[in-house]
Amino acid sequence: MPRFPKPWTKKRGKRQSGYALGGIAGEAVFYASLFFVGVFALSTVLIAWFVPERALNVSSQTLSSSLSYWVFGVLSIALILSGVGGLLYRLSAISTSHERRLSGQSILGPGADAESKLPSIPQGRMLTDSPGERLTYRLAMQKPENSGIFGAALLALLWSTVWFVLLAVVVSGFFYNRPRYILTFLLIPLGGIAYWAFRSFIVQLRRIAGIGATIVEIGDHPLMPGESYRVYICQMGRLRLRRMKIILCCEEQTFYRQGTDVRVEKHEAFTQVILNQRDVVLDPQAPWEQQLSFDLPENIMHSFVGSHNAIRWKIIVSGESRPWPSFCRSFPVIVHPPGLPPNRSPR
Amino acid sequence: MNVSLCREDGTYEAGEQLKAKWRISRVSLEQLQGLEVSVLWHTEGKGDEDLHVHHFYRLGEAELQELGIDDLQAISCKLPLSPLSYHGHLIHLRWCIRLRLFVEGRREIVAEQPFHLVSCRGGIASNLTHRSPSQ
Repeated sequence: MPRFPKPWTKKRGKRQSGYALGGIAGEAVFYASLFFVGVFALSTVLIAWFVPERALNVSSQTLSSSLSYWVFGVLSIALILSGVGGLLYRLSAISTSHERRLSGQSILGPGADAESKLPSIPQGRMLTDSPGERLTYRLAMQKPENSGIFGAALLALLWSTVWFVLLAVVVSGFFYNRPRYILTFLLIPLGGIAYWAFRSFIVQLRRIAGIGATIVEIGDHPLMPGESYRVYICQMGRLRLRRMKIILCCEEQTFYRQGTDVRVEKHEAFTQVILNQRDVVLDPQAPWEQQLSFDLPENIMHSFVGSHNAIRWKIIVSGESRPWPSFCRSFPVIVHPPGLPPNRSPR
Repeated sequence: MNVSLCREDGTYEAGEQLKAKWRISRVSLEQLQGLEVSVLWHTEGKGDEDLHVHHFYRLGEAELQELGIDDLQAISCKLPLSPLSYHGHLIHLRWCIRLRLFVEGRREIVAEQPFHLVSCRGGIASNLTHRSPSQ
């Protein structure tokens, strides 16, 4: 008796049950259904809006107010967009194999160049493409902290807008003697979420406004074990720090699969405190500047990037502050194995 | 199968020539179907395994018959400059020579001979202690 193909697949460890194509087809059908339901709902809303006398009986009752038109309209558009987006994404999986799509894509991001003289060591060209003012290279920050503020601002703005629109609906309902009690009670939890989103935005804004840019420059790059290096640190902003710490750190990173999840584990294999200073005052007129030096020990592991494992070196600038939030900024560096001829920079 | 390195301590400097010898024993020549010799590094530890083959060759059935199994066979390759052997907390990076023998009945026999790849100044990298400026 022929077996009916399952329209879904299930991941069991490294193995997948069912047919991969069947799973893709099942998802494609699901997203296509979403799209058609969205089109149907949007058509109903548009008919009820423009030609109310020809609208379905159900829609004439359900879409009795202007708000209902908008709610159903937005939901329909969301269904259409989800359907189209999901369908396109799933269909793209048919033309290329899983291996082909994954080829050249490490979980850890772009790293080592297999054709280089130092395999599995990231070249770090992006780290040294910016010249420094005091020393040879200005190091790039790992992840700009102000990237999170846009998300927080957007969430706060959109949620607050929705809340004020609903508030206007409730107030107008009371004004025209058509009170909406359920919506009135819903305003309380929705207002709580709006307050949380706005507070999160303010906290992020305070952090950005109070703590200025951090500049880290280094005399030579890549680093070699057993050598001494000069580093220049400049911290801008307007705040008083309880403690300012500059650390050279080597971090082991491993990625592993647990079921269908990818987990990351990090361990600081080596830390060297370059500076630990208390009571630092940052003034916008005169930024805090320090020129320091540190020795990199012998017998340390060089930078390494594999598909699931990495050893990363970085200079960390952290400040502990009250009432402002503390900050921690990382500047990756590359460490080469010892005994190699140093890279001569044109700078 | 046994693999023996040309150095007793099994430590080689980056960029150096690796020389080793291998021999197959206790298997009749007629049973052999193929042999793969690889010089590779792989990671061990908490994360998923990374593996990279630096040097590889395969001997088919006819080549094995021609070589015979009585004599020691040599492997030689130039080692790369990186990655060096490492013993860390989450990650261990190990170099080895791996022999995979294919015998009758779709059976496979694997033998490994680990070695250390160290920097030109010597010393195996390991996770160090925390240091402060006073140290």
